[in-house]
Amino acid sequence: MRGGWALPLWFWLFVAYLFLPLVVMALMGFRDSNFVAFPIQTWTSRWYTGVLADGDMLAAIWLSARVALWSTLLSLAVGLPTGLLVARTCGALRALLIASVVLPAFLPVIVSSVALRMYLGVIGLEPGVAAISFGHAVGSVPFVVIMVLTRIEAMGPNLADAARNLGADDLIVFARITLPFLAPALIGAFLFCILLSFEDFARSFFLGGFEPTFPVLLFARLRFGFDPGLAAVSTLVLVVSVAVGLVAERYVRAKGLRP
Amino acid sequence: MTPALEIRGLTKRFGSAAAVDGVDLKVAAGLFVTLLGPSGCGKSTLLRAVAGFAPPESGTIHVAGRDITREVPHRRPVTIVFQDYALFPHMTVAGNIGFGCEMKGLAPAAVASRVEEMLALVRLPGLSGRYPEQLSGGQRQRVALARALAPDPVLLLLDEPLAALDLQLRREMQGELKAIQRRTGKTFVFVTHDQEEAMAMSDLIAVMRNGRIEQIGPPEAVYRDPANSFVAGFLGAANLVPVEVVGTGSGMLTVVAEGLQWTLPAERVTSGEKPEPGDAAVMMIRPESLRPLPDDAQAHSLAVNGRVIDRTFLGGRVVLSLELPGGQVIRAELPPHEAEGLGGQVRLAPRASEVALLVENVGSGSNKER
Amino acid sequence: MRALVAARRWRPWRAAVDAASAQPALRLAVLAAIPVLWIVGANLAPLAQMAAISLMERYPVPPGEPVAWTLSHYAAFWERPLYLNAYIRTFIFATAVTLITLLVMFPVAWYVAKVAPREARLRLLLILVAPFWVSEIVRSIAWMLVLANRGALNLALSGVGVIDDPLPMLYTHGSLAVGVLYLTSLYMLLPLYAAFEKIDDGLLQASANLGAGPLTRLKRIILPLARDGIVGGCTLVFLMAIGLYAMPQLLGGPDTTLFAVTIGQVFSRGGDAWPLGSALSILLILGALGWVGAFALLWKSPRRSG
Repeated sequence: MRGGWALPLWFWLFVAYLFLPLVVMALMGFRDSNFVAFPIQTWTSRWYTGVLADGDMLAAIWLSARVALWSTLLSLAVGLPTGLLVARTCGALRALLIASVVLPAFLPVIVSSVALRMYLGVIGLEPGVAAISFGHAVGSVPFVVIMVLTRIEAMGPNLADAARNLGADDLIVFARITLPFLAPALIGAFLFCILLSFEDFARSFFLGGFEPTFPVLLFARLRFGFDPGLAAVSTLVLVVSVAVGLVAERYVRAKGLRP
Repeated sequence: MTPALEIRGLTKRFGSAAAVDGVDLKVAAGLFVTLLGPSGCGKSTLLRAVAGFAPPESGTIHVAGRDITREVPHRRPVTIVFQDYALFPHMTVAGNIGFGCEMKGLAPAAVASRVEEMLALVRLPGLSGRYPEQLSGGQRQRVALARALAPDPVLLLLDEPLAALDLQLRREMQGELKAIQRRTGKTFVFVTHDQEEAMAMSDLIAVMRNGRIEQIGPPEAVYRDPANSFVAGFLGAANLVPVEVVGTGSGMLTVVAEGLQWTLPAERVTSGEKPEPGDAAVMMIRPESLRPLPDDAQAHSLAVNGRVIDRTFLGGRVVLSLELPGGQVIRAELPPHEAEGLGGQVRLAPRASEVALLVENVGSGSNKER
Repeated sequence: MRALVAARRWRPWRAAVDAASAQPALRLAVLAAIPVLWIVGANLAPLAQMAAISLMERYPVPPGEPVAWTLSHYAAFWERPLYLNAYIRTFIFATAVTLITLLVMFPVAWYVAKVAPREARLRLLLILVAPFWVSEIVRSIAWMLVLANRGALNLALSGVGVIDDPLPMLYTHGSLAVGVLYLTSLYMLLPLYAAFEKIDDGLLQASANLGAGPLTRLKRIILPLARDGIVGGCTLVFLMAIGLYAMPQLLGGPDTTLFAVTIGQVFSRGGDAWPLGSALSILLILGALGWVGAFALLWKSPRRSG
């Protein structure tokens, strides 16, 4: 519509702002020195390859992966019935339900984290993998619900009615019609939850036990000194997350799941 | 013979409004019955009540003698074709069509052969592996029909299934639906707001308004002998002239409107009780029934004197707007050759068998078998 | 799934499922079990507990002693400049970041929604969204490398000859703002994009046709129609900024301490600081929700008349 140069320039400047720091970080991972600084005089790949030898880091990444899986499964198990329930309500009750489900997404992360930390005793959890998974799920359920809700509304009432009319009882309707229809939403939600969990810091920090998740370990190591190894491992994790994230984003948009 | 469908006193409310208000309906097996009416008249609600999606407050529904009023939808021997088809997007055409048979517990081989049978019936061979999104509107419509027929229901309900099709396709499908109904011998209950569609396809038309059946009968009967002015106006065009009854006797009635006097046989009163002199009534004259009288004819018992105020040529017919002596404007439709030279003051008349006298009374909502 | 169909042959199963189908209330109750349990047990209960703890003298309560209720922790907030200052500073900072994010993202969102060719839109959105998946820590690391005294930016500036000595850029409000913008930009982009997408191109063309210049179009057409998107985006961004915990510790300095970090420090002191930390958290929630609530009300779309 507008043929100006200012707007595209601003856009691409912003994109540069988004990506240059990541490039800088990737480059720093090649620095042949124990200290981070520019300019990079000699280059080495030892930091990148060294990631595989870093036992603590690998353990943290593995822990993050397990937490991501558990919290995602929990989020889906809670988010699916919640989305179905909200779809059947209307008016003030529906608004109230949505508000109370989505609440954690609107609270400052620190508040959610410390509240859950104090709450652990009530539900009989010690700080650790289970607690972190629970905390991540609390933060992810809102997203699952929204995605399930959006997808369910696209189904329309007639589909389930048509199945019933042809002889399907409620269980069969759920298994053969509703669930397959929801599959794209569940897959999209799965990917989102995995990624959200992996990059979470505050909840992992307060709900964790002695074993840190990846972001927590990164944070701790930064306190002790910044070496190119941190830049290297961050870049590797970044590349994987962004790749998965792009796949998830494309999938979600293709299936029309973004409201 | 047990009727395929029998509805007694069915009432379904939404909030305080009654969408279906005490409806009685009896449909013999093997007929194509259409529920016809404007939006909001309750026809779809009635259909959904039969299917089990709108539990009624009172009344009963019997299908082939079995009381299904309180039965859950998935146990009823009726299937429904939805307006938006509601095909399962994640199943193939074969999966969709075979679904009802699967639910009955048929073996996969039996299901597959039934699917092939249905595809042949709706003339879509070879499409069993496609998905709904790959089909055109007309094809989806046929798959929906096949899906509803496959489980061999007693009753097939169709909720405005042709509404989403363009005109040509719709005409084509009207013929096909009728043919399929004849061939399978199933009882079809069809819902539409399109009166031409209803007349083209039905054995019986039930005209509905405000949750009640105003009249039910074969298309010709309902068209020629409407029970009230609503039915008269809903099917085809109708000129409705308010008149007053001035004389009865020897099987004839005399009515007057301003500047006009007509005499017609008493059996042309299609709306119920015989009127007395002094009663108000409505004279229904179909536009296509008016024919020009030769000028020198004597007084005709049904002569309509009017002044041509507009003339529209529509190819196969000419539509004239006539102003009656009392000021009311009516329509006449004539073949072009008969309309030649007509202008100014004209005298037209219908045949006695083509007019109807409607005596309106309050609460004319009961069904009338004709 | 075939099992479910076959199971229907078994009369007790069939009877049970059909009976349940006939009772819509029962179906709803079964469905609502998990959601309600979660809402109460995972969303509401922790907050309620935190509110309760904030009013207790001590928590955990020593065995044998009754619970002592007090408002002293709330009072401590007003009395100690450490807390009050951090609170106010955080609100000002978050508001400023929200404004900056809005100003920066408005043209970006507009470009993608309206100016860029339609086929490119998905690609451009993916480009913008990609860094979203990078965690807060990693993003902080990246910016530390850029803004440090021996970081990339200083290298570039001295290489070009603009400066002789490195500029200290880290550990300031500025460095924090730059990093936070990185996090908040997406939360402003998506609501704005969604709002802009809904604006009919025809409206803008028509108004241009009637003689409205770009500024007028902005003021009279775009802003009113995008109002909901703007309010939504600002709300999300503000709530995110007010709760930042990790990035302020990495990109900010001791005099930029944000309230979330303060709360974290209080909690790190151990179990007996929980009541105080809870009180501070409650104050943060109330302040944040109150602030965005007031903002939303102020900017609420006026009811169209007649």
